[in-house]
Amino acid sequence: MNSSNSAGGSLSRSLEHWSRRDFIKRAGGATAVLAFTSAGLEWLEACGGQTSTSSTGGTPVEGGHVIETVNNDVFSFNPMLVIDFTSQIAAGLCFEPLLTSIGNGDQIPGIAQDLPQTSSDLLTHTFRLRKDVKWSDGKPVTADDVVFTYRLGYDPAYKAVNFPYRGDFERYLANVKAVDPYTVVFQMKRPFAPFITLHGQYGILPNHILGNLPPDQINTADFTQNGPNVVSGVFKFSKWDKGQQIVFGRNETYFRGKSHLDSYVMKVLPDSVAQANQLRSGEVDASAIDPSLVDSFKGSSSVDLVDFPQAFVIVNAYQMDPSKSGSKFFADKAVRQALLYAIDRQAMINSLYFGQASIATSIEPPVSFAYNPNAKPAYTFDVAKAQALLDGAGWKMGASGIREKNGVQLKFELMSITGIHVYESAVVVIQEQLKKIGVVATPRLVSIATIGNVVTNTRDFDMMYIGFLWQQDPDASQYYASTSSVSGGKNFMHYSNPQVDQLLAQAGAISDRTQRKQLYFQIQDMLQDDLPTPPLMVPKAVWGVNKRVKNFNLGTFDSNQNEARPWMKDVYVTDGK
Amino acid sequence: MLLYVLRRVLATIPVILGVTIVTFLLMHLTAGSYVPGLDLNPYLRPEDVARLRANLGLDRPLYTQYLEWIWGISHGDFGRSMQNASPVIGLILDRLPNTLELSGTAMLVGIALSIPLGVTAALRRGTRLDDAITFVSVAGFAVPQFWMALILILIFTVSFKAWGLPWLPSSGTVSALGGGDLVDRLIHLVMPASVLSFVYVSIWSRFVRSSMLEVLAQDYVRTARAKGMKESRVVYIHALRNAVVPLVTLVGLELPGLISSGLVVEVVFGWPGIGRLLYERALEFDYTAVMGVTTFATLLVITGNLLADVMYGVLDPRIRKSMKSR
Repeated sequence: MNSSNSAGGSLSRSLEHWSRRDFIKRAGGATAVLAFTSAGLEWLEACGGQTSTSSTGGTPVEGGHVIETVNNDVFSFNPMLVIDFTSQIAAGLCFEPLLTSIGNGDQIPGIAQDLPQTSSDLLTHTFRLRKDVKWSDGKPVTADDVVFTYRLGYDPAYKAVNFPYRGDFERYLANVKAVDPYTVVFQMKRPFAPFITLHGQYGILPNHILGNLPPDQINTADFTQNGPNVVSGVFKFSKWDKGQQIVFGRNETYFRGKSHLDSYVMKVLPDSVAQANQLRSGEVDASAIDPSLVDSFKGSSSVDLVDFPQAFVIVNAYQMDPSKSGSKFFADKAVRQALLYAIDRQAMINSLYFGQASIATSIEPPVSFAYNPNAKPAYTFDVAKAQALLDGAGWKMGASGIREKNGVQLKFELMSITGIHVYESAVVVIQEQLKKIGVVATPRLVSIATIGNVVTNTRDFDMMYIGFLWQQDPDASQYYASTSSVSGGKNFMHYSNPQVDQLLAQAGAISDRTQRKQLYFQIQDMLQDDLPTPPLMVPKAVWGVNKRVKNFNLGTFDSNQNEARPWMKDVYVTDGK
Repeated sequence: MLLYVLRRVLATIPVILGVTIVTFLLMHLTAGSYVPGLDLNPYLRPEDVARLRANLGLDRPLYTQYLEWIWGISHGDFGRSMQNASPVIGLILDRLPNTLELSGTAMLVGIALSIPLGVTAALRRGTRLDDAITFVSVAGFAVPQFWMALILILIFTVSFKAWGLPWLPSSGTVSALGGGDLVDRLIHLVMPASVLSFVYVSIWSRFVRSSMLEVLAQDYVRTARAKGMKESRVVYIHALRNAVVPLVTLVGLELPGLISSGLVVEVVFGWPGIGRLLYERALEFDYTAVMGVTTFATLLVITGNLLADVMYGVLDPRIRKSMKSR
């Protein structure tokens, strides 16, 4: 049971009010839901994007240590089992994947020599491995290790292993085989362009250590739960004070070149105020900062602020299923658009996100290579336009100050998650803003468990304030393809546009970035016009990094899904301590 | 007495059943079929969610899950964490020493300070000293622990460090690198133990004061004084022994507090104790871990009460006698 389970871990933090807030803040003010998954939440925390670096360059000083805060203890060191953010970092420091990515989501080779050679039909991906990668016990990292690692995901013999994404593997992956010790071929059952982006980044495990374990013991092995004895990454596991800190030492044989640091520490600190205090006192060197505390670090003589957008878009999802009552309002595009014009998103960003977010202009996150910065139409805060659109759609202002049409009032429920401060406030702000145009949106806050059930099963909602989480690949079919509106799928809006379906299918079946980008631009324009989920804002992640630490190049997609931080070996501390 | 203890032990069984059933149901009501949000992950397919739940045994009827768990408990098996399948008893034992270290120290400090403070306040009743002690104890009771903890950190860690003074580490039980020796542990213990013991001192010193006042007004104290016994002997030998009986109850009742009372302090100071374990796992809906800790805490409460009752007997012959007669 692993990773998957840590799922809860993430969303967790929501019970007690203040700490709940912490969580959210740490997530960059955002948090929410689709992200609120096991996996999701934690991704948010760290994943942000784009630029943001601590200061770089200079002449590296050898020695010393860096301490980074994490919200919870490590649950697992096995890259195939981790879902929570903390475990992802830990696994990423210890195990190098085939491919890894840099802050903006672009992939670069890990233990592979280069990006894979992909056949034109997208049915085979061939990886040539570097020959200079060694396990810390001296054995070479070979194709056998890669094959073993991926077998955990698709081989029926390993079904007991709690690898969370087996569904994808079984659907797309026929087999992974070693052609020679340094060549691995992935045979696909059907073409799926995002496969390598989504699944090429699991840290490769040592076959000679874990290969002989019975499948169910992979989940609970000491290697997994108490720290690995063999690594290929930039650091070796060295000490674990449970619930307190995990200490790593330099891996002298790391293939990218050994780290300047003697040691790296992940310190478990659940409270965001305590995190900020320790950053201030210098007890820790790097930490995510709660948006509400960011101002107190401005002009700090010891801490650099680093921020980057998260791959996370907050939206208002509309009910569009004709069999549900909410669709009588939202089946009409004019209403969907009017309600976006009526919301003052900048005001929400200022008051709810302490300025640490930006207005979303597309459903794709700005960090994506396929992000369309000029998706049309653009929506500004324009109450008059909202009024005009509603008037034009036949929703006339009634005597009671509520718009109505054919005797039906424009009155619905706005659902969101209870326990997340920023969400609870947001729905009230939206309620107030819509009231000004004669629309009654009654907030309805429900538990995360209920939201899960609504999204995947009942679909009983009118409008939902929720966050959509994105991976590096811009594929959007999980949210917007009409096939994803089946039970269990994430198109709970019941959005259906045959043109969008066709473009999504087309974009998922080719690998050329330029072509894909063009297709996703079209898709974003259509979604921006159809507006099944008006994009509201993109929260930022803000980190504080002590000025003595150099080259700490954290970005949106670092540590997302087990990625090693390829820049970690370059990090050094100016005082050598 | 033995019979009495035995009866009390047997009486705990329904208590444990009750507590575990309530915890179990509450966890299920809030979390649904565990891992709320799991089905929201856009990158998990519905079959993945179903498989993961099945692996956790969550696809079985509720009563089966509970019965299996309670069967395990009755055989000393606390089950495995939903999070990562690590044994729950291991989690508890990992954290228990830290909690005992913190709460135990805080309690000892609390007892050591509250008795002399309470006695002094009682003897100097109505004086400025009494008022001052009252003020401090009301403050200790009224100031939220997390606030006090943060203020201490701001002063003794952040500011002291900025001023170049020796400073106290603000989290953990030991330093990450180096450290780990007794001095290192003590330095880490100072702030959290101070915050925690402050509360104990403020509550207990009030009790000692009032029960001391009561005892000092008793006839036998007047008799002792009348026969010319030294005042210190009257107060510390005759009166105090009776005055601390209520304190024993309080301390006994506080034993479960070893786990729960440290929660806030453990969170703010990043102290890896049982309270934080319970808190974190509850937030993660890791119900096997939560139930394990709750059951463990229940056992502690019962043991604490039992110990307090037995201590009564030791301190007060009258109670000892009534126990025998039962």
